[in-house]
Amino acid sequence: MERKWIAATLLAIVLFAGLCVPAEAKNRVDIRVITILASQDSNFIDPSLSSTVRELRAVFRYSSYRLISRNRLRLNLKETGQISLPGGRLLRITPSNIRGNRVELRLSIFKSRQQIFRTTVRLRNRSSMTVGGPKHKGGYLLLNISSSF
Amino acid sequence: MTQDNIKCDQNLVDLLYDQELDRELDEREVVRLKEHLETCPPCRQALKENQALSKVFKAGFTNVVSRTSLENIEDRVMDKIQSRSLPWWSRIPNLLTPKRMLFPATAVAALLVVAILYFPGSRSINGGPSALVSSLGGVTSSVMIFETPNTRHTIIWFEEI
Repeated sequence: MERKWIAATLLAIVLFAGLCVPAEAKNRVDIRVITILASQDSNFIDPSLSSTVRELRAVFRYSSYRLISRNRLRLNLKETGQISLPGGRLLRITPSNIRGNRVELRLSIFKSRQQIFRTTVRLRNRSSMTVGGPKHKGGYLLLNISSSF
Repeated sequence: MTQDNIKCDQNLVDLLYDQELDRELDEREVVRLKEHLETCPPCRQALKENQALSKVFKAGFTNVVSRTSLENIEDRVMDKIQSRSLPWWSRIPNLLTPKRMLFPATAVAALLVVAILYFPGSRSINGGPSALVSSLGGVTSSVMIFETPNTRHTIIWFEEI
């Protein structure tokens, strides 16, 4: 009986230690970007966007949300990845560091090689944020950005 | 005291003991012993006492044995012997049999549930806004930052020039 408790305790310690790996030890960040076209020209919500749109509808009153693209980047810290956006735009993402359960991301949007927008955010692990505003085909582009590490 | 060619001394008492418990006397010795007992009352008495004592001992032993599960004893002894002779890593499968691991596995599962519920990384709504904005810039006319009420999802809206 005593041996069973020792084995169970050791197992619990090992599993719990796996959950508690310091964030600084994780250098790879998984980033997903969903590009959405929001507009008022129709009543259509892409079925694959239902959970994302549910959040956006708390702020926006668009009647149509169309999926443009899904992209995934796996970046090391300080490594820059880029994603092409509609309208000749480009999104660059650089995870710079991880502190606690948030990763610091530097986002830059370019249009015709000119940087039109940049921001630095600290995104919570396994959470998402949205950057919106660029005009496109009678609507607006929304970039839903999520990360995990 | 001597009678016949068997001496009534300690050797005879030992013979009596052997006869009763160990059945080690051969046929010739048994015949001689019986002939002697017919003519030697002290040895006959000693034999009687020896037999009575044996009876009491056997009865007590039988009683204890009947109340003991010999199978359990055997299993435990064999387990001990095997566990001492095998290297430690080969005993691990024995610890992982379903019946033995039920209680410890439940304890581990409970620990994991607590860890997942209280581990900071697992909190989504209660850990503040999804994104904290440190800086903004670019060629824009305006920037707005929103946070959805329920899930605290961060939205940054900028207007291109």
